[in-house]
Amino acid sequence: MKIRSIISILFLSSMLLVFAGQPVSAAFPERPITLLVGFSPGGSMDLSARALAAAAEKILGQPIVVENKPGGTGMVALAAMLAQNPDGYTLCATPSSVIIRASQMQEAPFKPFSSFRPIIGFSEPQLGIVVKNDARWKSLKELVNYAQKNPNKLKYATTGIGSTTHAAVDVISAKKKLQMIHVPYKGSMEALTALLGGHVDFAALTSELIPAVKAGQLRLLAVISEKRSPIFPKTSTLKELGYDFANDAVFAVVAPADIPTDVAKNLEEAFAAATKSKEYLDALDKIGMIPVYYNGEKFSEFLKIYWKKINEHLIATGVIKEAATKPE
Amino acid sequence: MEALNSLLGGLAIAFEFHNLALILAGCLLGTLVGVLPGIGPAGAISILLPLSFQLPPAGAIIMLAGIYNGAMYGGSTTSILVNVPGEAASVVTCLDGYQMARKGKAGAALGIAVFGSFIAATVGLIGLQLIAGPLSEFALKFGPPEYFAVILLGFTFIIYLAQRSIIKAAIMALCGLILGAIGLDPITSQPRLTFGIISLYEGLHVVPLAIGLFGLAEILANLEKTVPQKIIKVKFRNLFPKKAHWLKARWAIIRGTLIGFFMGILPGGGPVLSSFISYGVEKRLAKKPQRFGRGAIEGVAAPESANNAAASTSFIPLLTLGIPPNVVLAVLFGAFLMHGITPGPLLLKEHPDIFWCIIGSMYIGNIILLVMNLPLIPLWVQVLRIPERILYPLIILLCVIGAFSINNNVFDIFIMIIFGVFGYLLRKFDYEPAPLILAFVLGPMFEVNLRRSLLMSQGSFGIFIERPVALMALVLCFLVIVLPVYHALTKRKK
Repeated sequence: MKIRSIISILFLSSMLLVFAGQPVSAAFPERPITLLVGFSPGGSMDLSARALAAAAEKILGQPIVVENKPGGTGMVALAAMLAQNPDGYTLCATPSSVIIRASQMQEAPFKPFSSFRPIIGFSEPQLGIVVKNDARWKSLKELVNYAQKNPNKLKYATTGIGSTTHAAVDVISAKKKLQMIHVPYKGSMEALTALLGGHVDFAALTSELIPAVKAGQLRLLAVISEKRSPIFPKTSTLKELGYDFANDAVFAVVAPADIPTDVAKNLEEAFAAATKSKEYLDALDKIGMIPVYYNGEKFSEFLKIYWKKINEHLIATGVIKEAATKPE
Repeated sequence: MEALNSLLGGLAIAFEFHNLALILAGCLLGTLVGVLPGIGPAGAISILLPLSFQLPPAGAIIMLAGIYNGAMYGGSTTSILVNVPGEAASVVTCLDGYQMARKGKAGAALGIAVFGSFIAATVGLIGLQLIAGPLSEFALKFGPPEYFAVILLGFTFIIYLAQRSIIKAAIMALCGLILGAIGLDPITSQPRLTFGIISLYEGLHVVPLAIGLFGLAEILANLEKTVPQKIIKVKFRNLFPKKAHWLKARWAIIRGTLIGFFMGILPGGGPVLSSFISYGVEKRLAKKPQRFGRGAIEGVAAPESANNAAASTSFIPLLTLGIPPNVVLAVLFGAFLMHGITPGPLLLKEHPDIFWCIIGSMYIGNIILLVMNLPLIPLWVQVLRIPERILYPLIILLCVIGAFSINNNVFDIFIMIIFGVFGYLLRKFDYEPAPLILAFVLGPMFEVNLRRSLLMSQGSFGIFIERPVALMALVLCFLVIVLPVYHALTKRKK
């Protein structure tokens, strides 16, 4: 009897907590904001989200608590956010690639366009194609020429089948009709290790390449982004070299679709101001992330454009037959 | 000589008062997160990371490194006392550690784990200091075919984990393989056995599985007893390992250290794999292998030495190549970057003071951990005197918190409970969970390296015998399987 009454008291008091979570006044935010991250602590998504949160909480005047909920290739955190009240106190920091390619390759617990209200696109990793420092190829052109003359000889590592790095190499091999051996790894660090050990001939990597290129272990042949990288301004982009591909994995903060408009506006302004702060830019520089800026509306457009592009690519390369999650 | 001077310089910095205080804080926190199952060093370091910005870079990093080392010491405590493995690397320690505790030898088990950890970690550090460069070059030579061969060798050790029926052990290993296959296909990213549950996309985590199979199952089995509990009384002189224990354990500590030393350098799974392999080696070499699983002190000494040696040497690829070989060091890698220091080949040139200060601080940290952990043993042993009606709910609470804190996901608690019930049924039918855990850990690594190797060779199995390291490991596997058969046959002839 005693235990039962304790349980019911606990239950009732937790119900009170739930009601306490309802928004009551317009003075947003009046309590701490939770920013969910769908990846483990210490990774580039986690570190950039923490950098942004640290800058934004000074502007909002309330702490932003970063909570890691890894799982489901980043989808668990998005689903967890959608399960909360859409009051703006629970947000999620996610790479656009989870909303785009992960949901094309697997069934997602959300609708890629209509479930979310994007707040800001704030940073992107440094993507590039690299070889070892003692490799014979000094440029991407030399590498491509070699591959044309020696089909099925070159082995390359990427961060996984269907990833942005894989798509980049595929765009090159489709255009030049190259035959090469793809060895997919789990993440950039594993692929980097394989390249350093000489188990593959070249690799398409994310930000993990920066320290290795700076230390002279690797040679950077091309960067994969819209514009030249502020870190390696001398290296050409794939676009400049004649391949129509840029990075589709932009890190963003999203809210549930039906949060109050004024709250969303408030958050958008605060986060935009945060991305301009010196503290934030310094932190990004240290972890090797490139600052970018998309407001909510621009980011929605970005998602739609790249959804189509990546979907066509995944189908063309035979990774999927059709998108597992419908684009709505 | 130069290395010694640099080390002395590093020690001098580490001995400065504020740095010493930070090492102490790191070791204390590390021991705490090590003792609590679930929340591990990776979580603790990432929580403290933002706070560490207030500190100078060297101070911050030595504190965070202290957490890692401290956690490696503390990990075995709950394995030995209550059969709840604090982390994957301490699963094997449950087998004999918990049996020792039930026989009133918890103190000896904890003591040998602490001393073994100290010896192994110190040897690992000496290796880190002297031969880091050549060792990391060796580690890079390990490609998919080499990993495949070494993991295959790991699989043969399932034979040694089996205490009773080998067939039942094989069935358990198969269960482990199937459970390990849950999640996205490692090459094509297609969901397998996920039944539309997104929390299964990245597979099951080993910690809730192990906590359920060992910890919760143990409690369920104990609930059957109707006899009032006999409180295990531990006499003070039994609190620490005695001379007889030392004589039995010394070679196990040395062999465990060596195995951990080399496996720690390899990216991926070093501490876990080395703890299983060192246990198997001890059982293979023992004169009376049937003692294992019934409280053999070698079964605690070897894996605990191995995982600590592996923890020390796992710094080698991080500091010399900029490659973090496991999750904890990946978080630490992030911490280095946030403090404006890039681990890698340039670290020793650009920041020699920091490099040597880290090494120096780890030596000091090890001594602090030894001095700090020994007085804790009598305290830990008191846990066993708590009456069951209070102890069991506490352990269940510990299991629940441990499972939840892995991913902050309630789903993992359900997984833990399901495997607790499963583990209870296994006991009833006389199956052992250890081969399941080993196969669960090795299965996904085995699969991905096999498939990568075959992708590289375009389907030819020749790749495994063309490469010397892979060939060597395969020959060893063959011997492990064939030698016992050969011995049995020749014995029969006589």
